[in-house]
Amino acid sequence: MSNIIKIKNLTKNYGKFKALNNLSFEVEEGEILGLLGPNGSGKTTTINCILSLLEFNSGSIKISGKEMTPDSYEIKSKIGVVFQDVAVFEELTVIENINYFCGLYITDKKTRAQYVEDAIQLVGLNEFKKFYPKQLSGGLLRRLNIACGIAHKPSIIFLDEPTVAVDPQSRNNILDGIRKLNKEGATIVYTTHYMEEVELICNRIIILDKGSIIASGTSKELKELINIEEKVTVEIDNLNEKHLNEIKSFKNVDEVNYHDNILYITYKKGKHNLNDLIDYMQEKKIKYNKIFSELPTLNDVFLELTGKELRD
Amino acid sequence: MFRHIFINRLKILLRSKSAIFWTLVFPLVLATLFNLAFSNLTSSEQFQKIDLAVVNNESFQNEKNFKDLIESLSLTGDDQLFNTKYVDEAKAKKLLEDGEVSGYIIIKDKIGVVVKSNGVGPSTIKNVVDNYYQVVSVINNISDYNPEVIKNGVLNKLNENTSNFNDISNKNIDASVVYFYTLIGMVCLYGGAFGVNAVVETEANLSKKGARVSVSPIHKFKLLIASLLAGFVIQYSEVLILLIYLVFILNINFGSQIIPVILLTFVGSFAGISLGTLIGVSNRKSENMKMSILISSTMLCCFLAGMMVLNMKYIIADKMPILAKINPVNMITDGLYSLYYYETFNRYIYNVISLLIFSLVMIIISYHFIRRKKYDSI
Repeated sequence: MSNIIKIKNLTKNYGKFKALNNLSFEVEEGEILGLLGPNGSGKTTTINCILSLLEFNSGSIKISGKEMTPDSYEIKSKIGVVFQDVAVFEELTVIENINYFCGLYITDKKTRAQYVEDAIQLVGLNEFKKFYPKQLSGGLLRRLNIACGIAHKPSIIFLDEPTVAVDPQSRNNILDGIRKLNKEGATIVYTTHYMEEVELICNRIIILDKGSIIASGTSKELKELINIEEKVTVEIDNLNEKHLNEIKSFKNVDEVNYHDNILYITYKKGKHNLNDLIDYMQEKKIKYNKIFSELPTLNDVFLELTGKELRD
Repeated sequence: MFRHIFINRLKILLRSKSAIFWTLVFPLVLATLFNLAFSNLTSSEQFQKIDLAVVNNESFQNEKNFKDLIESLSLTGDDQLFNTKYVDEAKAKKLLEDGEVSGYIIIKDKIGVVVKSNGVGPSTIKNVVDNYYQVVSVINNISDYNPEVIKNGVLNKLNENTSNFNDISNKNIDASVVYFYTLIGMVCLYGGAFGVNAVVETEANLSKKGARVSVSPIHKFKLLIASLLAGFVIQYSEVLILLIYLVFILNINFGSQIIPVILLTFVGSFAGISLGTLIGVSNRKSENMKMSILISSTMLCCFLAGMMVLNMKYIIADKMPILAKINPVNMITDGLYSLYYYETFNRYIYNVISLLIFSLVMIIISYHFIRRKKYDSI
């Protein structure tokens, strides 16, 4: 697979504020690349610079081996963009909106009609073709927004937080659609601050914070960057200081907290952590109600790398 | 591609209820209200003669040519311009103070005009005196440099002209037409709303729709011109609908020359769209704020052109002529008025050219903003 997008040393300043700080990365043809980061981390700025909408201070952006400029019409014809905010015409119906935006790329009417139908099918708006945007729910409106951006069957698609404020049904529909587009050959750059989404659909993830790349790799590779194996939560009515200190001294334990009758234990790498804990509680006759074990998330990765939550 | 954008923009604008209301329905309603309000006024205002006092002193009696002129303009009949009272100076002052005359003329060393306010009456008296002075000056110059001409009877012809103030004008003057002309000026400038909308939906830093079309493989100017053309077609159609309504339903008099009226409104609509384009592209305020700027500046132009107070047009022309010259509503109103009032085209052509220059200036400044391809922030 070749690199279809190459970003090198991209820097964008707003006065003294560095929105993008020497950003370099590539996007492989056919992959779904996730740009993950909290609000204000530089995800949208990165996309707007790639699309030649924003001026940047230094760096280079190449798409399909060519420098991307506002006049790169050939490259632009291969690109589809779904912006974070819904951008459709209130005066046009669902089908007319998709047809209008598709018509900016596809001149042949017959081909366009087929493409518009395909887009409607993809986002599941078949029953709403004749509806005006104001008649659609938030989730359906987001689906229309996506259809308008991808109806011309682009080979590179930028999706900027397409699932913000969307109901679960629409979110699943959108994520399914993205996977389908990728299977059909589209390279996708997907920005979000929902870690579950990138884990679900992205082949590779770049974590951004304050305009810089702090980590990149597959979900598994990113989780291996940190020192956490699992997190255990136990509901216990009474736990004294002595017990707490004994648990802290267990093998692999990284951190122990107890409040509101809930015990939180974070384990470093290692095996049989949960078994050892259960054995200890039985031996000491400590009564517990519920016990959960969970694997580390991308939020834990972000927390360990930056010292703050992804959703802060 | 151009056709695709143009047709869809037409569809979008035609379905925009608020835009159609403000640019078509509102002016039609306003025209109807104007017509109701002025229908009684019209008959009484069909060219009111101007009340004038002349100080009948020895100097006036000695200024024979001027005396003849005033007397000829005061003769009863269709051409009568003045209701003249020949009085002494004290009486003339009293008449002016009491508002019984628009002004009085007194000759001492030279011919003087005393008025108390601005308006049609005082302006006309001043014009008559100015015109007389111009003719006298021409006669003096000719007699100084070429006395032979006097013998050829040229002076008699010039003298005849001094008594022909009314000859080039429409005989049945209806001052209320100015209100309807300013209304057409208003509609032309309201067309700027289509200019604002076209720009906002094309520029990536002004709207998300602008960003969406900016990433498409279409040249920005192609998009913008198609959008502006669609706006212009709707705007001009609305102006024509208003004209048809005014001429055929409300029977408003536009003079006998309808083609120049249509041409003037065409140029006026173009000026409106150009103004809207500049307002749209020159700042990053919201679309609603831009519309407010357009509407308030249009209403100010209408006010200065005499829409609310007819005399305002003359006050501005007298006190701040530059403001009258750069006001597009005044250019449209004055152009229409000149077609109605005069049988010559000089003033009409002057206004058409002024509107074209105004539009050109708006387009040149707009181009300065539109030519940007990338933005510092969006």
